[in-house]
Amino acid sequence: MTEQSGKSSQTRVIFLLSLLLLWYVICKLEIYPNYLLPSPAMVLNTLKRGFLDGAYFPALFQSSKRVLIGYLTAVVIGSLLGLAISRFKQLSNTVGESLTALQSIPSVAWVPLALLWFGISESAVLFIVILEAFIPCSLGVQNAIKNIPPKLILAGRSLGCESFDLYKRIIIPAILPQLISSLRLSWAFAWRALIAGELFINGSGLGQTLELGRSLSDMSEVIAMMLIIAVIGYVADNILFRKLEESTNHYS
Amino acid sequence: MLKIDKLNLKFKANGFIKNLFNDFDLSVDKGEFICILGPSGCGKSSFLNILAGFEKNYTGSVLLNGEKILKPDIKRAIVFQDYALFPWLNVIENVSFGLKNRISNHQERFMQAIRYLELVDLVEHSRARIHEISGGMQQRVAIARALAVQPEILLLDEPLGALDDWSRRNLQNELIKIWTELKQTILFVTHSVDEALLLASRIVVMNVNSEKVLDIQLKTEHPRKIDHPESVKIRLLIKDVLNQKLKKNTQENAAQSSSGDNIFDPSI
Ligand SMILES: Nc1ncnc2c1ncn2[C@@H]1O[C@H](COP(=O)(O)OP(=O)(O)OP(=O)(O)O)[C@@H](O)[C@H]1O
Ligand SMILES: [Mg+2]
Repeated sequence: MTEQSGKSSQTRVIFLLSLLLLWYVICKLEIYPNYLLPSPAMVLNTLKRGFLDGAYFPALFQSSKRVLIGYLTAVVIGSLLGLAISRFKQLSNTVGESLTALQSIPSVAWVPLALLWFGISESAVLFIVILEAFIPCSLGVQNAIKNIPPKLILAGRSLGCESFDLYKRIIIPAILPQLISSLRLSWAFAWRALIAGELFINGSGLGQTLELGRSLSDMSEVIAMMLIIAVIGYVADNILFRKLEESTNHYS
Repeated sequence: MLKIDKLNLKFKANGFIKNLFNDFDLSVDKGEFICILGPSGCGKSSFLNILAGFEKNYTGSVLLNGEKILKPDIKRAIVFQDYALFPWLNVIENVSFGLKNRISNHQERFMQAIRYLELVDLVEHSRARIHEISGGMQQRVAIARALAVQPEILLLDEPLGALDDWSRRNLQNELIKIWTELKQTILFVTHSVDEALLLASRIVVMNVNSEKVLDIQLKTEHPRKIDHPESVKIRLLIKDVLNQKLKKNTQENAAQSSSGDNIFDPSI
Protein backbone atom coordinates (compact mmCIF):
# COMPACT_ATOMS: atom_id res chain seq x y z
CA MET A 1 0.00 0.00 0.00
CA THR A 2 1.07 3.61 0.40
CA GLU A 3 4.06 4.94 2.26
CA GLN A 4 1.77 6.56 4.79
CA SER A 5 -0.02 3.38 5.80
CA GLY A 6 3.37 1.67 6.09
CA LYS A 7 4.47 4.37 8.45
CA SER A 8 1.33 4.19 10.58
CA SER A 9 1.65 0.43 10.94
CA GLN A 10 5.25 1.02 11.99
CA THR A 11 4.15 3.35 14.79
CA ARG A 12 1.55 0.79 15.78
CA VAL A 13 4.16 -1.93 16.18
CA ILE A 14 6.41 0.40 18.17
CA PHE A 15 3.50 1.29 20.45
CA LEU A 16 2.66 -2.36 21.12
CA LEU A 17 6.30 -3.20 21.78
CA SER A 18 6.59 -0.36 24.29
CA LEU A 19 3.50 -1.60 26.10
CA LEU A 20 5.06 -5.02 26.27
CA LEU A 21 8.30 -3.50 27.50
CA LEU A 22 6.44 -1.58 30.21
CA TRP A 23 4.76 -4.78 31.33
CA TYR A 24 8.11 -6.55 31.34
CA VAL A 25 9.79 -3.80 33.37
CA ILE A 26 7.02 -3.71 35.95
CA CYS A 27 7.40 -7.47 36.44
CA LYS A 28 11.18 -7.24 36.58
CA LEU A 29 10.95 -4.60 39.30
CA GLU A 30 8.75 -7.01 41.25
CA ILE A 31 6.28 -4.30 42.19
CA TYR A 32 3.49 -6.87 42.22
CA PRO A 33 3.86 -10.54 43.07
CA ASN A 34 3.78 -13.01 40.17
CA TYR A 35 0.43 -14.45 41.07
CA LEU A 36 -1.14 -11.01 40.71
CA LEU A 37 0.68 -9.92 37.59
CA PRO A 38 2.37 -12.73 35.69
CA SER A 39 5.25 -11.73 33.44
CA PRO A 40 4.99 -11.67 29.62
CA ALA A 41 7.16 -14.79 29.51
CA MET A 42 4.75 -16.68 31.79
CA VAL A 43 1.78 -15.73 29.68
CA LEU A 44 3.65 -16.65 26.52
CA ASN A 45 4.42 -20.02 28.04
CA THR A 46 0.81 -20.59 28.93
CA LEU A 47 -0.22 -19.69 25.40
CA LYS A 48 2.39 -22.00 23.91
CA ARG A 49 1.34 -24.88 26.13
CA GLY A 50 -2.33 -24.27 25.43
CA PHE A 51 -1.86 -24.36 21.69
CA LEU A 52 0.76 -27.15 21.58
CA ASP A 53 -1.28 -29.39 23.88
CA GLY A 54 -4.26 -28.60 21.75
CA ALA A 55 -6.21 -27.64 24.86
CA TYR A 56 -7.25 -24.29 23.36
CA PHE A 57 -8.61 -25.63 20.12
CA PRO A 58 -11.89 -27.07 21.40
CA ALA A 59 -12.43 -23.82 23.32
CA LEU A 60 -11.79 -21.74 20.20
CA PHE A 61 -13.98 -23.98 18.11
CA GLN A 62 -16.89 -23.99 20.56
CA SER A 63 -16.77 -20.25 21.10
CA SER A 64 -16.56 -19.52 17.37
CA LYS A 65 -19.47 -21.83 16.69
CA ARG A 66 -21.58 -20.21 19.38
CA VAL A 67 -20.83 -16.67 18.34
CA LEU A 68 -21.39 -17.40 14.65
CA ILE A 69 -24.74 -19.07 15.21
CA GLY A 70 -25.83 -16.33 17.59
CA TYR A 71 -24.51 -13.52 15.43
CA LEU A 72 -26.02 -14.76 12.18
CA THR A 73 -29.39 -15.34 13.82
CA ALA A 74 -29.22 -11.87 15.33
CA VAL A 75 -28.32 -10.27 12.02
CA VAL A 76 -31.21 -11.93 10.21
CA ILE A 77 -33.70 -11.02 12.95
CA GLY A 78 -32.27 -7.52 13.32
CA SER A 79 -32.27 -6.65 9.62
CA LEU A 80 -35.76 -7.98 9.00
CA LEU A 81 -37.08 -6.22 12.07
CA GLY A 82 -35.36 -3.01 10.97
CA LEU A 83 -36.98 -3.24 7.55
CA ALA A 84 -40.37 -4.01 9.07
CA ILE A 85 -40.15 -1.15 11.56
CA SER A 86 -39.25 1.29 8.80
CA ARG A 87 -42.16 0.07 6.73
CA PHE A 88 -44.91 0.15 9.32
CA LYS A 89 -45.46 3.22 11.42
CA GLN A 90 -47.30 1.29 14.13
CA LEU A 91 -44.26 -0.92 14.66
CA SER A 92 -41.93 2.02 14.80
CA ASN A 93 -44.00 3.71 17.51
CA THR A 94 -44.05 0.59 19.65
CA VAL A 95 -41.24 -1.88 19.04
CA GLY A 96 -38.89 0.73 17.57
CA GLU A 97 -39.05 2.88 20.68
CA SER A 98 -38.47 0.05 23.12
CA LEU A 99 -35.40 -1.19 21.26
CA THR A 100 -33.43 1.85 22.30
CA ALA A 101 -34.33 1.21 25.92
CA LEU A 102 -33.46 -2.45 25.55
CA GLN A 103 -30.08 -1.53 24.14
CA SER A 104 -29.07 0.24 27.32
CA ILE A 105 -29.23 -3.02 29.30
CA PRO A 106 -25.73 -4.57 29.31
CA SER A 107 -25.53 -8.25 28.47
CA VAL A 108 -24.52 -9.41 31.95
CA ALA A 109 -27.76 -8.03 33.31
CA TRP A 110 -29.56 -10.67 31.25
CA VAL A 111 -27.49 -13.53 32.67
CA PRO A 112 -29.67 -14.30 35.71
CA LEU A 113 -32.82 -14.51 33.63
CA ALA A 114 -31.10 -16.44 30.85
CA LEU A 115 -29.77 -19.02 33.29
CA LEU A 116 -33.19 -19.36 34.89
CA TRP A 117 -34.99 -19.78 31.58
CA PHE A 118 -32.49 -21.91 29.71
CA GLY A 119 -30.43 -23.52 32.48
CA ILE A 120 -26.66 -23.40 32.69
CA SER A 121 -26.40 -24.23 29.04
CA GLU A 122 -25.40 -23.26 25.57
CA SER A 123 -28.88 -21.88 24.86
CA ALA A 124 -28.48 -19.33 27.63
CA VAL A 125 -25.36 -17.97 25.95
CA LEU A 126 -27.00 -17.94 22.53
CA PHE A 127 -29.96 -16.10 24.00
CA ILE A 128 -27.69 -13.39 25.38
CA VAL A 129 -25.66 -13.10 22.19
CA ILE A 130 -28.73 -12.80 19.99
CA LEU A 131 -30.39 -10.34 22.32
CA GLU A 132 -27.30 -8.14 22.37
CA ALA A 133 -26.49 -8.31 18.70
CA PHE A 134 -29.85 -7.88 16.98
CA ILE A 135 -30.52 -4.44 18.43
CA PRO A 136 -27.67 -2.44 16.86
CA CYS A 137 -28.42 -4.16 13.58
CA SER A 138 -32.09 -3.29 13.69
CA LEU A 139 -31.50 0.30 14.79
CA GLY A 140 -28.84 0.67 12.11
CA VAL A 141 -31.15 -0.52 9.36
CA GLN A 142 -33.94 1.79 10.52
CA ASN A 143 -31.61 4.73 10.62
CA ALA A 144 -30.12 3.95 7.24
CA ILE A 145 -33.54 3.76 5.63
CA LYS A 146 -34.53 7.05 7.23
CA ASN A 147 -31.44 8.61 5.69
CA ILE A 148 -32.11 7.58 2.11
CA PRO A 149 -32.69 10.78 0.11
CA PRO A 150 -36.44 10.71 -0.71
CA LYS A 151 -35.67 11.75 -4.29
CA LEU A 152 -33.82 8.47 -4.84
CA ILE A 153 -36.96 6.55 -3.97
CA LEU A 154 -39.05 8.78 -6.21
CA ALA A 155 -36.56 8.41 -9.06
CA GLY A 156 -36.63 4.63 -8.62
CA ARG A 157 -40.41 4.54 -8.60
CA SER A 158 -40.74 6.62 -11.72
CA LEU A 159 -38.26 4.32 -13.44
CA GLY A 160 -40.53 1.36 -12.83
CA CYS A 161 -39.61 0.06 -9.37
CA GLU A 162 -42.47 -0.77 -7.04
CA SER A 163 -42.73 -2.80 -3.82
CA PHE A 164 -40.30 -5.73 -3.91
CA ASP A 165 -38.22 -4.24 -6.74
CA LEU A 166 -37.95 -1.02 -4.81
CA TYR A 167 -36.34 -2.92 -1.92
CA LYS A 168 -34.11 -4.99 -4.14
CA ARG A 169 -32.92 -2.27 -6.47
CA ILE A 170 -33.06 0.91 -4.41
CA ILE A 171 -33.48 0.51 -0.67
CA ILE A 172 -31.04 -2.34 -0.02
CA PRO A 173 -28.22 -0.97 -2.21
CA ALA A 174 -28.76 2.50 -0.78
CA ILE A 175 -28.41 1.33 2.81
CA LEU A 176 -25.63 -1.18 2.18
CA PRO A 177 -22.71 0.91 3.52
CA GLN A 178 -24.63 1.73 6.69
CA LEU A 179 -25.82 -1.86 6.92
CA ILE A 180 -22.23 -3.11 6.95
CA SER A 181 -21.40 -0.59 9.68
CA SER A 182 -24.25 -1.90 11.80
CA LEU A 183 -23.16 -5.47 11.13
CA ARG A 184 -19.77 -4.46 12.46
CA LEU A 185 -21.28 -2.93 15.56
CA SER A 186 -23.49 -5.98 16.03
CA TRP A 187 -20.42 -8.16 15.82
CA ALA A 188 -18.68 -6.23 18.59
CA PHE A 189 -21.77 -6.62 20.78
CA ALA A 190 -22.07 -10.33 19.96
CA TRP A 191 -18.46 -11.02 20.81
CA ARG A 192 -18.65 -9.31 24.18
CA ALA A 193 -21.95 -10.92 25.05
CA LEU A 194 -20.49 -14.31 24.17
CA ILE A 195 -17.59 -13.99 26.59
CA ALA A 196 -19.83 -12.56 29.31
CA GLY A 197 -22.26 -15.43 28.89
CA GLU A 198 -19.61 -18.12 28.75
CA LEU A 199 -18.23 -17.10 32.13
CA PHE A 200 -21.35 -18.56 33.67
CA ILE A 201 -21.81 -21.85 31.87
CA ASN A 202 -20.07 -25.20 31.73
CA GLY A 203 -18.40 -26.89 28.79
CA SER A 204 -15.63 -25.68 26.62
CA GLY A 205 -15.09 -22.13 25.38
CA LEU A 206 -12.87 -19.08 25.75
CA GLY A 207 -15.01 -17.60 28.50
CA GLN A 208 -15.06 -20.89 30.39
CA THR A 209 -11.29 -21.26 30.15
CA LEU A 210 -10.89 -17.75 31.47
CA GLU A 211 -13.26 -18.47 34.33
CA LEU A 212 -11.38 -21.69 35.06
CA GLY A 213 -8.12 -19.72 35.21
CA ARG A 214 -9.75 -17.40 37.71
CA SER A 215 -10.97 -20.20 39.94
CA LEU A 216 -7.47 -21.74 39.96
CA SER A 217 -5.89 -18.32 40.54
CA ASP A 218 -3.95 -18.85 37.34
CA MET A 219 -3.65 -15.29 36.08
CA SER A 220 -1.41 -16.34 33.18
CA GLU A 221 -4.34 -18.32 31.85
CA VAL A 222 -6.71 -15.41 32.40
CA ILE A 223 -4.43 -13.00 30.57
CA ALA A 224 -3.75 -15.52 27.80
CA MET A 225 -7.51 -15.79 27.20
CA MET A 226 -7.95 -12.04 27.30
CA LEU A 227 -5.25 -11.74 24.66
CA ILE A 228 -6.92 -14.32 22.42
CA ILE A 229 -10.27 -12.59 22.85
CA ALA A 230 -8.73 -9.24 21.97
CA VAL A 231 -6.91 -10.58 18.93
CA ILE A 232 -9.97 -12.29 17.49
CA GLY A 233 -12.08 -9.23 18.17
CA TYR A 234 -9.50 -7.03 16.51
CA VAL A 235 -9.06 -9.21 13.45
CA ALA A 236 -12.80 -9.44 12.85
CA ASP A 237 -13.52 -5.80 13.49
CA ASN A 238 -10.55 -4.02 12.03
CA ILE A 239 -9.61 -6.28 9.21
CA LEU A 240 -12.66 -8.19 8.05
CA PHE A 241 -15.35 -5.59 8.60
CA ARG A 242 -13.20 -2.67 7.61
CA LYS A 243 -12.43 -4.28 4.28
CA LEU A 244 -16.13 -4.91 3.78
CA GLU A 245 -16.98 -1.33 4.66
CA GLU A 246 -14.43 0.01 2.24
CA SER A 247 -15.58 -2.21 -0.58
CA THR A 248 -19.23 -1.22 -0.18
CA ASN A 249 -18.66 2.50 0.20
CA HIS A 250 -20.49 4.31 -2.60
CA TYR A 251 -17.83 6.95 -2.85
CA SER A 252 -14.65 4.94 -3.07
CA MET B 1 -51.88 14.21 -25.33
CA LEU B 2 -51.78 15.47 -21.74
CA LYS B 3 -55.03 16.94 -20.56
CA ILE B 4 -55.54 18.58 -17.20
CA ASP B 5 -58.98 19.77 -16.14
CA LYS B 6 -60.10 21.51 -12.97
CA LEU B 7 -57.06 20.40 -11.03
CA ASN B 8 -57.07 20.99 -7.28
CA LEU B 9 -54.70 19.73 -4.65
CA LYS B 10 -55.80 19.95 -1.04
CA PHE B 11 -53.34 19.42 1.79
CA LYS B 12 -53.01 20.19 5.46
CA ALA B 13 -50.44 22.75 6.52
CA ASN B 14 -50.21 23.91 10.15
CA GLY B 15 -53.65 22.50 10.81
CA PHE B 16 -55.23 24.49 7.98
CA ILE B 17 -56.51 22.91 4.82
CA LYS B 18 -54.92 24.64 1.88
CA ASN B 19 -55.79 24.38 -1.75
CA LEU B 20 -53.36 24.61 -4.64
CA PHE B 21 -54.25 25.08 -8.33
CA ASN B 22 -57.82 26.39 -8.01
CA ASP B 23 -59.27 24.58 -11.04
CA PHE B 24 -56.07 24.61 -13.07
CA ASP B 25 -56.42 23.65 -16.74
CA LEU B 26 -53.73 22.82 -19.23
CA SER B 27 -53.51 20.75 -22.34
CA VAL B 28 -50.23 19.72 -23.83
CA ASP B 29 -49.78 18.49 -27.40
CA LYS B 30 -47.26 15.93 -28.48
CA GLY B 31 -43.85 17.48 -29.19
CA GLU B 32 -44.36 20.68 -27.23
CA PHE B 33 -41.58 22.11 -25.11
CA ILE B 34 -43.40 23.90 -22.34
CA CYS B 35 -41.61 26.03 -19.79
CA ILE B 36 -43.50 26.76 -16.59
CA LEU B 37 -42.62 29.96 -14.78
CA GLY B 38 -43.94 31.20 -11.48
CA PRO B 39 -42.98 32.62 -8.11
CA SER B 40 -41.51 30.35 -5.48
CA GLY B 41 -44.13 28.31 -3.67
CA CYS B 42 -46.79 28.64 -6.37
CA GLY B 43 -46.91 24.87 -6.82
CA LYS B 44 -44.67 24.12 -9.80
CA SER B 45 -42.99 21.15 -8.11
CA SER B 46 -46.31 19.92 -6.77
CA PHE B 47 -47.66 20.08 -10.31
CA LEU B 48 -44.83 17.96 -11.68
CA ASN B 49 -45.21 15.55 -8.75
CA ILE B 50 -48.83 15.03 -9.71
CA LEU B 51 -47.86 14.39 -13.32
CA ALA B 52 -45.11 12.00 -12.22
CA GLY B 53 -47.70 10.08 -10.21
CA PHE B 54 -46.17 10.70 -6.78
CA GLU B 55 -49.18 12.67 -5.59
CA LYS B 56 -52.50 11.01 -6.14
CA ASN B 57 -54.72 12.92 -3.71
CA TYR B 58 -55.69 15.56 -6.22
CA THR B 59 -59.14 16.25 -7.58
CA GLY B 60 -60.02 16.99 -11.16
CA SER B 61 -58.83 15.06 -14.13
CA VAL B 62 -55.26 14.52 -15.21
CA LEU B 63 -55.09 12.35 -18.28
CA LEU B 64 -52.15 11.20 -20.36
CA ASN B 65 -53.49 9.80 -23.63
CA GLY B 66 -56.82 9.32 -21.93
CA GLU B 67 -55.33 7.41 -19.03
CA LYS B 68 -55.72 8.76 -15.51
CA ILE B 69 -52.42 9.45 -13.75
CA LEU B 70 -52.44 7.79 -10.34
CA LYS B 71 -49.03 6.22 -9.93
CA PRO B 72 -45.51 6.55 -11.29
CA ASP B 73 -44.84 5.02 -14.67
CA ILE B 74 -41.96 5.06 -17.12
CA LYS B 75 -44.25 6.83 -19.57
CA ARG B 76 -43.59 9.90 -17.46
CA ALA B 77 -39.93 10.36 -16.59
CA ILE B 78 -38.77 13.02 -14.15
CA VAL B 79 -35.49 14.87 -13.61
CA PHE B 80 -34.86 16.70 -10.36
CA GLN B 81 -32.71 19.70 -9.57
CA ASP B 82 -30.36 17.60 -7.44
CA TYR B 83 -29.96 14.82 -10.04
CA ALA B 84 -30.98 11.93 -7.72
CA LEU B 85 -28.60 9.50 -9.38
CA PHE B 86 -27.92 6.16 -7.73
CA PRO B 87 -24.42 6.42 -6.23
CA TRP B 88 -23.94 2.64 -6.02
CA LEU B 89 -24.18 2.36 -9.80
CA ASN B 90 -21.87 3.78 -12.43
CA VAL B 91 -22.96 6.08 -15.24
CA ILE B 92 -24.18 3.50 -17.71
CA GLU B 93 -25.86 1.40 -15.03
CA ASN B 94 -27.75 4.50 -13.98
CA VAL B 95 -28.86 5.21 -17.52
CA SER B 96 -30.00 1.63 -18.12
CA PHE B 97 -31.75 1.39 -14.74
CA GLY B 98 -35.26 1.96 -16.07
CA LEU B 99 -34.80 -0.51 -18.93
CA LYS B 100 -34.57 -3.53 -16.65
CA ASN B 101 -38.19 -4.56 -17.01
CA ARG B 102 -38.35 -3.76 -20.67
CA ILE B 103 -35.16 -5.28 -22.09
CA SER B 104 -34.12 -8.52 -20.45
CA ASN B 105 -30.77 -8.87 -22.18
CA HIS B 106 -28.03 -7.07 -20.29
CA GLN B 107 -26.02 -6.35 -23.43
CA GLU B 108 -28.96 -4.87 -25.31
CA ARG B 109 -29.81 -2.75 -22.32
CA PHE B 110 -26.33 -1.26 -22.36
CA MET B 111 -26.53 -0.67 -26.12
CA GLN B 112 -29.69 1.33 -25.64
CA ALA B 113 -28.14 3.24 -22.75
CA ILE B 114 -25.10 4.05 -24.89
CA ARG B 115 -27.35 5.66 -27.48
CA TYR B 116 -28.62 8.09 -24.88
CA LEU B 117 -25.18 8.68 -23.44
CA GLU B 118 -24.13 9.67 -26.97
CA LEU B 119 -26.98 12.12 -27.08
CA VAL B 120 -25.65 13.91 -23.99
CA ASP B 121 -21.97 13.48 -24.98
CA LEU B 122 -21.01 11.21 -22.13
CA VAL B 123 -20.03 7.96 -23.81
CA GLU B 124 -16.40 8.20 -22.72
CA HIS B 125 -17.57 8.47 -19.12
CA SER B 126 -19.92 5.52 -19.23
CA ARG B 127 -17.93 3.52 -16.66
CA ALA B 128 -17.28 6.44 -14.31
CA ARG B 129 -18.67 6.44 -10.79
CA ILE B 130 -21.21 9.15 -10.09
CA HIS B 131 -19.09 11.04 -7.57
CA GLU B 132 -16.22 11.18 -10.05
CA ILE B 133 -18.04 13.44 -12.51
CA SER B 134 -19.06 17.11 -12.29
CA GLY B 135 -22.52 18.40 -11.43
CA GLY B 136 -23.21 19.30 -15.03
CA MET B 137 -22.29 15.81 -16.16
CA GLN B 138 -24.40 14.29 -13.40
CA GLN B 139 -27.40 16.20 -14.61
CA ARG B 140 -26.73 14.98 -18.15
CA VAL B 141 -26.66 11.43 -16.81
CA ALA B 142 -29.99 12.06 -15.09
CA ILE B 143 -31.47 13.37 -18.34
CA ALA B 144 -30.12 10.39 -20.27
CA ARG B 145 -31.55 8.05 -17.63
CA ALA B 146 -34.96 9.66 -18.01
CA LEU B 147 -34.84 9.65 -21.81
CA ALA B 148 -33.61 6.06 -22.06
CA VAL B 149 -37.01 4.68 -21.07
CA GLN B 150 -38.47 6.63 -24.01
CA PRO B 151 -41.12 8.40 -22.00
CA GLU B 152 -44.12 10.04 -23.60
CA ILE B 153 -43.37 13.12 -21.57
CA LEU B 154 -40.22 14.34 -19.87
CA LEU B 155 -40.72 16.31 -16.66
CA LEU B 156 -37.88 18.53 -15.48
CA ASP B 157 -38.01 20.39 -12.16
CA GLU B 158 -35.51 23.25 -12.28
CA PRO B 159 -32.92 20.87 -13.68
CA LEU B 160 -30.31 23.53 -14.30
CA GLY B 161 -30.86 25.48 -11.08
CA ALA B 162 -27.84 24.06 -9.28
CA LEU B 163 -25.36 24.44 -12.14
CA ASP B 164 -22.76 27.08 -12.94
CA ASP B 165 -23.39 29.40 -15.92
CA TRP B 166 -21.18 27.49 -18.29
CA SER B 167 -22.72 24.08 -17.61
CA ARG B 168 -26.15 25.61 -17.69
CA ARG B 169 -25.62 27.06 -21.16
CA ASN B 170 -24.21 23.75 -22.32
CA LEU B 171 -27.17 21.84 -21.03
CA GLN B 172 -29.63 24.30 -22.52
CA ASN B 173 -28.12 23.53 -25.90
CA GLU B 174 -28.28 19.80 -25.19
CA LEU B 175 -31.96 20.14 -24.35
CA ILE B 176 -32.67 21.99 -27.56
CA LYS B 177 -30.82 19.26 -29.43
CA ILE B 178 -32.79 16.54 -27.64
CA TRP B 179 -36.05 18.28 -28.33
CA THR B 180 -35.37 18.81 -32.02
CA GLU B 181 -33.87 15.35 -32.59
CA LEU B 182 -36.29 13.23 -30.57
CA LYS B 183 -39.39 15.41 -30.84
CA GLN B 184 -39.64 14.72 -27.13
CA THR B 185 -42.56 16.30 -25.29
CA ILE B 186 -41.07 18.31 -22.44
CA LEU B 187 -42.46 20.04 -19.38
CA PHE B 188 -39.76 22.21 -17.90
CA VAL B 189 -40.02 24.18 -14.66
CA THR B 190 -37.63 27.08 -14.29
CA HIS B 191 -37.10 30.29 -12.36
CA SER B 192 -35.39 32.04 -15.23
CA VAL B 193 -37.44 33.97 -17.76
CA ASP B 194 -34.46 34.07 -20.14
CA GLU B 195 -34.05 30.34 -19.95
CA ALA B 196 -37.69 29.86 -20.83
CA LEU B 197 -37.34 32.28 -23.76
CA LEU B 198 -34.33 30.39 -25.00
CA LEU B 199 -35.88 26.93 -24.82
CA ALA B 200 -39.64 26.84 -24.88
CA SER B 201 -42.06 26.41 -27.69
CA ARG B 202 -44.67 27.59 -25.23
CA ILE B 203 -44.45 29.41 -21.93
CA VAL B 204 -46.96 29.06 -19.11
CA VAL B 205 -46.77 31.54 -16.26
CA MET B 206 -48.40 30.89 -12.90
CA ASN B 207 -49.05 33.40 -10.13
CA VAL B 208 -48.76 32.98 -6.38
CA ASN B 209 -52.25 31.56 -6.23
CA SER B 210 -51.18 28.91 -8.75
CA GLU B 211 -53.49 30.27 -11.40
CA LYS B 212 -52.42 30.32 -15.01
CA VAL B 213 -51.89 33.99 -15.87
CA LEU B 214 -50.08 33.68 -19.19
CA ASP B 215 -49.90 31.05 -21.89
CA ILE B 216 -47.85 32.02 -24.94
CA GLN B 217 -46.64 30.19 -28.01
CA LEU B 218 -43.13 31.04 -29.23
CA LYS B 219 -42.59 30.93 -32.96
CA THR B 220 -38.87 31.66 -33.32
CA GLU B 221 -36.67 28.80 -34.52
CA HIS B 222 -33.89 27.41 -32.34
CA PRO B 223 -31.15 28.33 -31.67
CA ARG B 224 -32.50 31.62 -30.45
CA LYS B 225 -30.90 34.92 -29.74
CA ILE B 226 -31.78 36.48 -26.43
CA ASP B 227 -32.34 39.86 -28.16
CA HIS B 228 -34.61 38.52 -30.87
CA PRO B 229 -37.62 40.86 -31.22
CA GLU B 230 -40.10 38.14 -30.24
CA SER B 231 -38.08 37.30 -27.12
CA VAL B 232 -37.79 40.96 -26.17
CA LYS B 233 -41.52 41.44 -26.57
CA ILE B 234 -42.46 38.35 -24.57
CA ARG B 235 -39.91 39.06 -21.87
CA LEU B 236 -41.53 42.45 -21.31
CA LEU B 237 -44.94 40.85 -21.23
CA ILE B 238 -43.89 38.22 -18.66
CA LYS B 239 -42.06 40.71 -16.46
CA ASP B 240 -45.08 42.96 -16.66
CA VAL B 241 -47.44 40.22 -15.58
CA LEU B 242 -45.17 39.05 -12.79
CA ASN B 243 -44.56 42.60 -11.56
CA GLN B 244 -48.22 43.51 -11.72
CA LYS B 245 -49.13 40.52 -9.66
CA LEU B 246 -46.29 41.24 -7.31
CA LYS B 247 -47.33 44.86 -6.95
CA LYS B 248 -50.91 43.89 -6.39
CA ASN B 249 -49.82 41.42 -3.75
CA THR B 250 -47.56 43.80 -1.93
CA GLN B 251 -50.35 46.36 -1.99
CA GLU B 252 -52.72 43.82 -0.54
CA ASN B 253 -50.15 42.80 2.02
CA ALA B 254 -49.44 46.40 2.87
CA ALA B 255 -53.14 47.08 3.28
CA GLN B 256 -53.54 44.03 5.46
CA SER B 257 -50.52 44.69 7.59
CA SER B 258 -51.34 48.36 8.06
CA SER B 259 -54.84 47.53 9.19
CA GLY B 260 -53.23 44.86 11.35
CA ASP B 261 -50.96 47.47 12.84
CA ASN B 262 -53.89 49.66 13.71
CA ILE B 263 -55.49 46.91 15.64
CA PHE B 264 -52.57 45.13 17.25
CA ASP B 265 -49.82 47.66 17.64
CA PRO B 266 -49.75 48.43 21.38
CA SER B 267 -47.97 51.71 20.76
CA ILE B 268 -51.09 53.24 19.25
N1 LIG C 1 -48.41 17.45 0.48
C1 LIG C 1 -48.14 18.69 0.92
N2 LIG C 1 -48.14 18.93 2.25
C2 LIG C 1 -47.87 20.16 2.71
N3 LIG C 1 -47.59 21.21 1.94
C3 LIG C 1 -47.57 21.03 0.62
C4 LIG C 1 -47.83 19.76 0.04
N4 LIG C 1 -47.71 19.88 -1.28
C5 LIG C 1 -47.40 21.18 -1.51
N5 LIG C 1 -47.31 21.88 -0.39
C6 LIG C 1 -47.06 23.33 -0.28
O1 LIG C 1 -47.48 23.89 -1.48
C7 LIG C 1 -46.69 24.98 -1.84
C8 LIG C 1 -46.12 24.80 -3.22
O2 LIG C 1 -44.96 24.00 -3.17
P1 LIG C 1 -44.08 23.67 -4.44
O3 LIG C 1 -42.87 23.01 -3.94
O4 LIG C 1 -44.90 22.94 -5.42
O5 LIG C 1 -43.75 25.11 -5.00
P2 LIG C 1 -42.76 25.50 -6.16
O6 LIG C 1 -43.52 26.36 -7.09
O7 LIG C 1 -42.10 24.30 -6.72
O8 LIG C 1 -41.70 26.39 -5.40
P3 LIG C 1 -40.16 26.59 -5.73
O9 LIG C 1 -40.11 27.52 -6.89
O10 LIG C 1 -39.62 27.21 -4.49
O11 LIG C 1 -39.58 25.25 -6.01
C9 LIG C 1 -45.63 25.10 -0.77
O12 LIG C 1 -46.03 26.09 0.13
C10 LIG C 1 -45.64 23.73 -0.14
O13 LIG C 1 -45.23 23.82 1.18
MG1 LIG D 1 -40.06 23.56 -6.75
